[in-house]
Amino acid sequence: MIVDILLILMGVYLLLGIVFSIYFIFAGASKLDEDVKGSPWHFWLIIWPGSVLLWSVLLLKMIRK
Amino acid sequence: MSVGYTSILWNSEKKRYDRGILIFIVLYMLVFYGLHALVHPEATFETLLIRAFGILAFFLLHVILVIGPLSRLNPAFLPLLYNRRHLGVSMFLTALVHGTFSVIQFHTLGDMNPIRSIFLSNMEYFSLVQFPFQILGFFSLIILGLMAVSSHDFWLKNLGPVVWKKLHMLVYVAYALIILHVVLGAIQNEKSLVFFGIVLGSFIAVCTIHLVAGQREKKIDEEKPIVDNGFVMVCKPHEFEDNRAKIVLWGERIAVFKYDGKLSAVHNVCKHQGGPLGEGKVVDGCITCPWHGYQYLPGNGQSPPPFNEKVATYELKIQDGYVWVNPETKGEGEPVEPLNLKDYE
Repeated sequence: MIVDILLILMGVYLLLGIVFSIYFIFAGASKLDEDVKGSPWHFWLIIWPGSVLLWSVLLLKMIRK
Repeated sequence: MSVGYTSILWNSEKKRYDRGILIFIVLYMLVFYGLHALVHPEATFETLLIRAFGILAFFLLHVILVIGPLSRLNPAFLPLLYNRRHLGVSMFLTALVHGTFSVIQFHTLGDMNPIRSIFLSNMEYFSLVQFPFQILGFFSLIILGLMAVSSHDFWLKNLGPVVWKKLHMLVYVAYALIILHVVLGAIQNEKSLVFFGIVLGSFIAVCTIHLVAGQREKKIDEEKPIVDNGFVMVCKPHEFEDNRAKIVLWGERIAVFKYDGKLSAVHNVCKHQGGPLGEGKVVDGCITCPWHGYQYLPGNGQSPPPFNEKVATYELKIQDGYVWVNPETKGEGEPVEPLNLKDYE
């Protein structure tokens, strides 16, 4: 039971992360950090996994900004 | 530094080290497979793969953990520190291969979700000799993954140095989990005491090197500097090495650099990741952080254009044959006339 809850929570977190990361890559990142403008596609590829896993921290940063 | 981003910060030195890492991994794999085929000819290819990558990740993690304290004890290790980030990502990828093949081999043959199976296939949570050690590996892999995906400078800047540092200090939690993962796994599968000896020896080595380096830092912090009229004594002018620094502690650490026959003082902490500037050197006229190569002009503490990082600068003087520094900063990026040693010869 505990394991199932844990796995569901992890799954939901990751799913939200994937959704958030799409917004972040296409619009959010440049609002948070202007230096990303004009970065090559492989830069976005490198930061994408981080935006999926760290979406909650990024969202907080964006709200505060 | 913070103008624009690229995917991987490569320069000729980092490329050389990355090639070194790759060559080492390939050679290691060849030797491991050769030896294992001789000693354990019955082992399957998948088992060899799991063991090879697991041991490699374990070894690389130890190297990564000792690079920091070793470079504090001996500057000869600083080039390794400068390239540690790429080694960390390589270690994570190695651990990921180990974890992925372990899940495929041990948790995909039943009708249960493989991740669920990691938690539920062995329920001996209260047994030392039967403990489901793979869970420990699973959580350590998550931590290492978080560190690997946040290793780019973009994350350092946007998470902020404090959050970023806290996240990356989790490597010690991951290390503890990995030690338990390896030991508890070996209890179930390994008969040889040599294996346990190597694991224990590695753990003791990591702890000892950290303690020795910590003790040395503590000793530096406890040294009582000589103060006169608000200035803190550094040393005699001839005691400076060219393009290197002497570090003075007065509340904060101040690095006094000698370059081109001149002396300049800046705050010892790099703006990038808190690296110890005083352990770096002057390269192409710029103070260069030993950790990731961030640079500052000695005369004003500013990063060379187009970068905009700034560290605090300090006033220097020579009195009674000694160099003295005023610990009251002039401010970050404030120009201070360098002390020309030729004027005092």
